[in-house]
Parts: sequence; C-alpha cells; structure tokens
Amino acid sequence: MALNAAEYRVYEVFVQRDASQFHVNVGSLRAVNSEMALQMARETFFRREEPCEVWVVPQDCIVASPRDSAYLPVHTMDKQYRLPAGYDNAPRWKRFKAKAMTIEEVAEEMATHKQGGA
Amino acid sequence: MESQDVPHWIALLQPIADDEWIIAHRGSEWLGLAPDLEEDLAFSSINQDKMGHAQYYYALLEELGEKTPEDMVYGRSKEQWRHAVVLETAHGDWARLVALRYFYEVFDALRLERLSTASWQPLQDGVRKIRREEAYHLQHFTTWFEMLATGTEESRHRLREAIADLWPLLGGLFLWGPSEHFLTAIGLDSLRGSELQRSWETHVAEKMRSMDLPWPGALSSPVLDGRLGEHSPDMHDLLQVMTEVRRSEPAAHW
Repeated sequence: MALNAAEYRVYEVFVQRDASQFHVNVGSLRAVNSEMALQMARETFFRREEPCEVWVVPQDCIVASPRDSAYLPVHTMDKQYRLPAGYDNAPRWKRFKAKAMTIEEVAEEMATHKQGGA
Repeated sequence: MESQDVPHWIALLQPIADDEWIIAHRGSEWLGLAPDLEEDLAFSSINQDKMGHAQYYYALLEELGEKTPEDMVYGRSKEQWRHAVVLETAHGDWARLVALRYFYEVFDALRLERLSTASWQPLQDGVRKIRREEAYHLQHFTTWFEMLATGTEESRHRLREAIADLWPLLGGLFLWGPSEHFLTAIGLDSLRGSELQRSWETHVAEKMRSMDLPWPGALSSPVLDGRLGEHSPDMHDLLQVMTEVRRSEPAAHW
C-alpha cells in the first residue's frame, strides 16, 4: 500500500491515571484520524495499565511559547523568601498516611520533640 | 464435568484454540511489515493477545487429557489441526489482511458471546476475560475496514479484490467437524454453524451495505474442511516455518 506521510497527523497523547490527577503527556504518535489515534494510543502506551482517561491532541493544535524571555519566566531576583521551607514533618506525615500513627500520636511526638529541644 | 462429556468439550475447544493460534501466527509474520510503526505495535500486541487466548484454550484441553500446549502447537502434523483453512492461507496485501481479520473478528465475537454461557466454569471465566480483549480487536479491524472502504479509489479496489478472494473460503469458519451433536450434549446449541452463520451474515451485510460494498452472495461450503483435518499446501509451509527452531533440537528445554 502506498502511504503518503502527508495524510498522517502527529497526535500528542495525554493520560489521566486517576480522576484526581491532571492529564500528563506521555508521548506522541502518528495516525490518519483521531479514532485511529485513540486506538494506537491504547496499544502503544497503555498495554499494561488501566488509565482513567486518554486524550489525543493534534500536535498542530498546540500553541507553544517562543523560547525567549518574553514568554518564559526568568528568575533573576532571589525569591527564596517566597518558598515554603524549614518544615521537617515529612517522615511523620508519611507514617501517618501509612496509618502507622494516629493524629494524636503525631501531636504528642511533636510536643515531646519540642520539649527535648532537638 | 461428567466423563462422557469430555470428548464433547474437546470437540468444542480444539477448533477454537487452533483458529486463534493460526490466525495469530499468520499475524505475527507481519511484524515489521505493517503499513506504519504504530500499526506494527498495535497489530503485534493484538496477535500476542490471540496467542494468549489460544494458550488458555490449549491449557483447558490439556486438563481434559490432550497433549501439552507445546506439543499441540509444535508436535502435530498438518492433518491433526482443526482450524478453518481460510486462516492458514498465504499472505496477500494489507487489504486482504484487513478483510480477513474483520470477517474473523466478527465471527469470533459471535462465537465468544455464545460461549460465555458455557456450563464449564473454567471456560466461562476465561471467556469473560478474553472477550474484553477481543472487543478491541474487533473495533480495530472495523475501523481499518471502514477506512479502506471509504479511503481512496485504490484502497476500495484492493478491499473489494480481497473480499472476492476470501469469500469462497469463509464458509469453513462455521463448520464443527463430523457432527454438531456434541453441542446439544453440552447445552450450547446456540453455537451451531447455521446459527452463527446467520448472525454473521446479518452483521457483515449491514456493514457492507453501509460502506456501499456489494454483497458477494451466500457463503458456500469450502473445498477443504479444516475442521476435518483437510488443509492446503499453505499449511504445510506454515508448519515448516513455525516448527523449524523446535525441530532443530527436539530434546531442548525452552
């Protein structure tokens, strides 16, 4: 079959892994139409998972920024003061989420921690 | 399962297993040759699905006292295979592949739908999973069939040539071997060839009408009945290639 590359469009493929997450770009593919693009996305990217939703977007529908500072933010000033830092509750939060601790235990440990001055 | 029913379940499963294996093997021979890279990926994964389905049926056959799946695939002579002859035929162009797969996927979907009521639980469980994948296969080749039918003058011409080439062989799909009595014995009368064929013709005729493709007429009985172990020289060639590595060192453990 003679194939004409011009008849194909490039589609960007996005997956939403569960309903609480954003759609994330996982790659691109070529297809003759959007129905085929969806089928190819399933076979190319999602053989081993069950996504919540898949988007295929013709690449030429995407508006990309020029690669210059008029569109892309540059951080010349020190903006450290804007960033939340200095908290080290991550391990506790992790254990709490893993149900290893109750919220009361977390509070108690934090109180003890402070008293100990560490 | 009653022991007198064992031969009935074997008569049911062997043609289905062989259909799935042979169509998958022929499909796998397209690796690297599909029209584009994406199709190469999609089509090979579809063929792998089908090999998985065949493997499932062969495992059930082994439970019923047949040979191991390996021996079923690599150790049988041409006359011991029970798939329909149309599935073993040598390749033509991509349009022929699309037409064959579309016709087969419609047939397989109808067969699985009826098989899903089987009273043997392990079969019913497997069929439920297999149908989820087969729905994708049917969708994929329906899309291809429609694209070729409505594409260019050349694609439409090639599709019509392919349909004309395949049509005399398609009747072989709906046969069950020397007798269909075993279907009654295991409560699966709905799988009788005439029933399947009627549903298939209704479905395919509707699709062809909507694509403005002429109906080639009633299906005929095939010259060679694969369900009786009758096969074409193409099957000899297929077996030579498929078993080549295995035969090079029969005692090797894979």
